[in-house]
Amino acid sequence: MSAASPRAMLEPMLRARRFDEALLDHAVLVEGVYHVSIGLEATAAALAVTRREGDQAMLNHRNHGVLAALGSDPETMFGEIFGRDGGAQRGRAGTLHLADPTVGVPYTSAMVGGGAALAVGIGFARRLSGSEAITFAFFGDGAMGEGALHESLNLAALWSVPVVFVCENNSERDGQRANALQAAHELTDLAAVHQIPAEVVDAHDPVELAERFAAAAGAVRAGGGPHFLEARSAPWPGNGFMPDPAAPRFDLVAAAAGGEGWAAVDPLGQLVRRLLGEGTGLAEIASLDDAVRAEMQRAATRAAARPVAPPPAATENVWGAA
Amino acid sequence: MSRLRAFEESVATAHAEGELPGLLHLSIGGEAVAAGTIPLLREEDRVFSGHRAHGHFLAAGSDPRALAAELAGRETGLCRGRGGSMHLMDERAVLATGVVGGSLPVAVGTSLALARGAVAVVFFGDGAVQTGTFHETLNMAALWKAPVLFVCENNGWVEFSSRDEHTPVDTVASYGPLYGITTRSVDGGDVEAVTGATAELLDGIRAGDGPGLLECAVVRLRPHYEGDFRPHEAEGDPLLKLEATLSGLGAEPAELEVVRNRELETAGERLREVLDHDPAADPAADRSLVFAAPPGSLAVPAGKPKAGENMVQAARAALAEAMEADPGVVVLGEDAVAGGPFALTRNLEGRFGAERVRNTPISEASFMGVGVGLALAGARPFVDVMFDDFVTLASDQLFNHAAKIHFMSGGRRSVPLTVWTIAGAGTRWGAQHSQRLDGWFAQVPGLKLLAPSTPAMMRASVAAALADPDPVVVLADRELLYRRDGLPGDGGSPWRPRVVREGTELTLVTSGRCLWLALEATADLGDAVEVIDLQLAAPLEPGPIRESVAKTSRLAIVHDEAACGAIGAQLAATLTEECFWDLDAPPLRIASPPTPVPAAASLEDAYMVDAETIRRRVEEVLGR
Repeated sequence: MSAASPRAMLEPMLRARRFDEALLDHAVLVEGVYHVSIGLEATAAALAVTRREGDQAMLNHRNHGVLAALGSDPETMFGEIFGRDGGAQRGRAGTLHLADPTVGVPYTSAMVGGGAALAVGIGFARRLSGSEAITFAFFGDGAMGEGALHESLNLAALWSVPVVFVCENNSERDGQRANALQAAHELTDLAAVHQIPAEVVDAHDPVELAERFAAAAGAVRAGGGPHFLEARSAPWPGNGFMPDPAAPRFDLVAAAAGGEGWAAVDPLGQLVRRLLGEGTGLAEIASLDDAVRAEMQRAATRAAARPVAPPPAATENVWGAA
Repeated sequence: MSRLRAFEESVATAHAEGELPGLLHLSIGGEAVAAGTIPLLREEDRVFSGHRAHGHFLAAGSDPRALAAELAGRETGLCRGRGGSMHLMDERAVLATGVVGGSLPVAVGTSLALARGAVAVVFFGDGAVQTGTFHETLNMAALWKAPVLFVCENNGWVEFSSRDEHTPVDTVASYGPLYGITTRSVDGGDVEAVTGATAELLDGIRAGDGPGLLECAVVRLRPHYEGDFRPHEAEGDPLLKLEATLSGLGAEPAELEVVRNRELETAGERLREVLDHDPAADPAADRSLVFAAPPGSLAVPAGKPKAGENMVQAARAALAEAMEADPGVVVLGEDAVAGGPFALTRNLEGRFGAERVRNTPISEASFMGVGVGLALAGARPFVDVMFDDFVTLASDQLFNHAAKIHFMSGGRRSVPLTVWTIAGAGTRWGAQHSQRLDGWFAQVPGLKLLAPSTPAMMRASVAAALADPDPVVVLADRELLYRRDGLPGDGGSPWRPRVVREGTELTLVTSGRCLWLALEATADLGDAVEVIDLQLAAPLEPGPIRESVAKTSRLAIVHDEAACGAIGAQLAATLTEECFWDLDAPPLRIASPPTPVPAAASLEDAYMVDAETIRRRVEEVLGR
């Protein structure tokens, strides 16, 4: 399994970032709560460059970045978030449950840790059918408090289910403890105890993360049973109960020069500086960035112009086909 | 150890002869663990167990005759025959449960309410280690330095399959150090080894070091339950081991034999006496055992209502007043310290301290159990489950434990637990954050559900719930949280339906946001519609509604959620049964369609009951 190239990571990371920024630009159109993936683009892009046709991913309430990175149609995504006609799930799901089966995300649970158990089920079914496809489960560090997650780790290890568990940890450590609500010293220990290979990776180093991601996926695909990756990052300052629509947008030129505060560790900035250092021209990066930004803005505008989602007839979609 | 063995052998014999019905899991093989741990405990310590509990209860001092009578389903039993083998409850041995892992978080909860230096010990099998609650509980116990000793009796069997079919993890002791929990492993058949390790762990726990974990390798000398034909061990009997040790120290085998036989005879005779003489448990008492106090039988604490306060403020004020008056009132929930998403518990930690307002990890299934444990120990926990949807995660502790403990204990124990949750659609948060599950609560005997519609009644509901000896769920309607309006009758009891507008042609029963919609929708129908605020959603108190229907001859029920399985169905059935001859028309239920709550604004608006719909359907039934 060859390492993912920095160049291959650029577009998915830009798609993730510029999608959520376009969403922030249109924040007034979102009724209800929403979550952005700013700062977590490296794991999203790692999935995008590692994933093969047929691989599935179970996400969580913080799902925009992964879907955008995977190439899910942004206008359809915005349509679902804004509750418009033509939304990804016809308005039933909204941002918390955003999904896209065409990129391997069949359903998204907003119950913390819920996706992990489902990923084990999907993975198990795939193995039974003889498929070489693997399944990814994305969840945050808070999900390590949920019993269902541990049950999932145990079952995946017991039945050698081909799942890559990806824990996006953006919490501060609390002394010896992983965080203020997790007495375990290391989240990876909670996977390793089930005999699942587990490692910590830096979510601010996209290239290293992608390499570790690909290695884990390769091992799982080769039949080695589940793997666990803890991707650590510092939380984006714009996060709160709701994201801050006025937070600074990614500035390519400033990032090329280094940036301050969070911008200095911003994984997208890290990637840009790496590419520049390896000889990619700023103009080339800017050109791609401009195109992605324009695409996302256009998608948001077009989705916003659509009529609201029409109510379904009676119990349409409650039950599957008879 | 002989006494424990003799009891179990007498039970096994009686069961084999068809004299003891039910599901019996015997502790034969586990005597060294019970005898090596429990006698080291102090009077104020507490013991918890699972389905294989007889040995633990006997060792903790439970009366063997009452225990035998409980297994025999007699009125003289420990729990008046209502609990049976798997749900024993007593003073020092607090709880046995049939749900694997069910007593783990309960033990933690109780430990937090014990006097300093006291310890809660919880026994569980290796099967419980694969449950989610095991991890959630260890984490919380470690976080809070709960004085708990976790004792795992690892016999390598999980019901009918071996441990390696349940997990790749060999030893239970592997888990303790992950959470920074002091851990020991011993041969559970060697009573001296068990005693030594227990003493060491107890010292640390009593000194405030936090919880301990003791893994005891034991042999299950009997099948999983009595009557099962599947395999069990033949060797490794701890009693034989002890007798060999005693022989080595100079005891005469004949003397040991005498002790054994004497115990066996005593146990056999005692059981025989129970079977021959003790009266069978009397079903007539059953209904009265569901609650410690029938809803509405206690005075509601008078609060100090403040004019102009909204629902959240009223709830917070009532909670703060209760916390002020009673140091046993404690708060648990996610983000409880910061106040939670609706600022309900804001500033309470600053006022009352970190021990009384605790942030929980995302562990609903277990922190509900911690609440049960606190309640069993005499505290009055207020457990905030954020959204009604998440109660589904806490179902086991709420439905299988909290709701049933008073009954299963034969009335000896009650669970003064208050659960707060916010329900209802309208925020565009989608299907997993918008449900209102009154019907779920109403189905399970043993839970009280208050659903107030005004700030004054919210105040009364929270105060009443915190003063109640039984589990009470206080359900706040999302759309009403910041509303200040009151209604006639505010200040009355929250425990029964109340008439908020009089009428002559139709009785309309509702609560929460639908109540306000109904008032609006029927405002200009003169005095045609009598609007009743349900208030007590479970158990139903149909009295005031019956009186109204006798007057109006028509009944309408309005509620959120789909009609099927909701409390409207229960109301309609009950009132039809009781008022059939008064009714001039079938009861009308106005509810949402049978779909999950959609996220998009346009869809959610179409899904939710609105004033227009209420108006139209009421006019239809009135013939206008």
